[in-house]
Amino acid sequence: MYIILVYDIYTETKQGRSRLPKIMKKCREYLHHTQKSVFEGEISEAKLLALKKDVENIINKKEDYVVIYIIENINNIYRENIGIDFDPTDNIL
Amino acid sequence: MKDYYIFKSGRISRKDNSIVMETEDTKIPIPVNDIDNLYLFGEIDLNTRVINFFAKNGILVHFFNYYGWWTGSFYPRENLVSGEIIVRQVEHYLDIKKRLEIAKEFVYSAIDGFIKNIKKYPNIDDSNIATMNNFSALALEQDTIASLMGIEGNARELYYALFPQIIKQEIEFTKRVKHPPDNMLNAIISFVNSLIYTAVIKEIYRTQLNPTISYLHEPSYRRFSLALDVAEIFKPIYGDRLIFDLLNNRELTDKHFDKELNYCYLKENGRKIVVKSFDEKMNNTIMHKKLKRKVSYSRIIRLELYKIIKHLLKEEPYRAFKIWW
Repeated sequence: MYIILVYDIYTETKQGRSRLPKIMKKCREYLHHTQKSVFEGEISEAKLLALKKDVENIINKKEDYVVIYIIENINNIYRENIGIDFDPTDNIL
Repeated sequence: MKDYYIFKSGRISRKDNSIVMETEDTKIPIPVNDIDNLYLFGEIDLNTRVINFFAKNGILVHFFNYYGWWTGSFYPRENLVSGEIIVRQVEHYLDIKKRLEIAKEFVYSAIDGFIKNIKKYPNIDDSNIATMNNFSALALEQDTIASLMGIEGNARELYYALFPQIIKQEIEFTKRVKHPPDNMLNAIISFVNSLIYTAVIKEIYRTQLNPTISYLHEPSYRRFSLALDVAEIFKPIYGDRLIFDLLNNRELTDKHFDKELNYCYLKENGRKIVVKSFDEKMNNTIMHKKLKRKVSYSRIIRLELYKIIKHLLKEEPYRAFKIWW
């Protein structure tokens, strides 16, 4: 499946600011970094479960939240760019 | 899980428990959980830290030199090992009867691929198909590996001789030449074959089979010879069809080849085109008749290896893959 993951971390406190890079690094293990707090990519169900668990361990449930948009069928997504033509999921570098 | 093809030059390193590709001007993070295989075409630095990390994650790395020739693969320590399979593999190699049985299937399937390919092009004379059919019948009668290889060679010679009728571009092509290829078509055939070869290595890694014990090719035959065997089946139907499409749709023309070196190798932009359509092709899915579900082209290679395992374990006689679409 294809997912888009967006997070919002409460950075007013010192702990929040230290969570921010942690969650970014964790997401980078699984997904492609599209924008500052946006990740996307193809992922298997098992790996998504692992990712969710890792994310849960990092965030503070009272202050942060993470949204995962799940697209079951990859054919149902069409990516369109405005501006720079940039596809972070490209596998030919 | 995807294959990543890297043409840029720079350094690949382990960072934050994932992979990052550093080039002169950018840093591109690559999610380690998304990497299936890495194909390195550029000039890339690696250190042991990252290689150990690849091994831990079961990532195969294929290296290509400046001219696009496959130089080798990093094949991590096998995590799927089975003593029994190795014993059976060796048993089927040592017994010439058993060995021929498997080797014939490879040749038969390869020739079947030639026939299916030339049948797609109506301008080819039917007599050629009849000759090909003759070759496949002859292959089944051979009782030595050398003569079987001979039949395969003859069939391949005839098959390549038909290429100028299939390819609509003006291409000088009389016969297959390797080391180095002497023209455009030979160059692209060599390149695509090496991609198929690595695709088979990757699938062998995911099974218990030992890649060095083979049946058609001699096991001492450089490289992972089992991959050479299995690649024979897939070269005509995956590789050659890709080549015909790329050349006939004029996606590849002589400007993608290096003229100064007698067109003997693809330039980087040409290689990118081939790799891109190869990757698309391997992820293509078709309905599998027996499994009644969709399988990708690369999965078909794996299924083929499973069939070999079943044959070795004497569960089901091996019938090599024949294209049905």
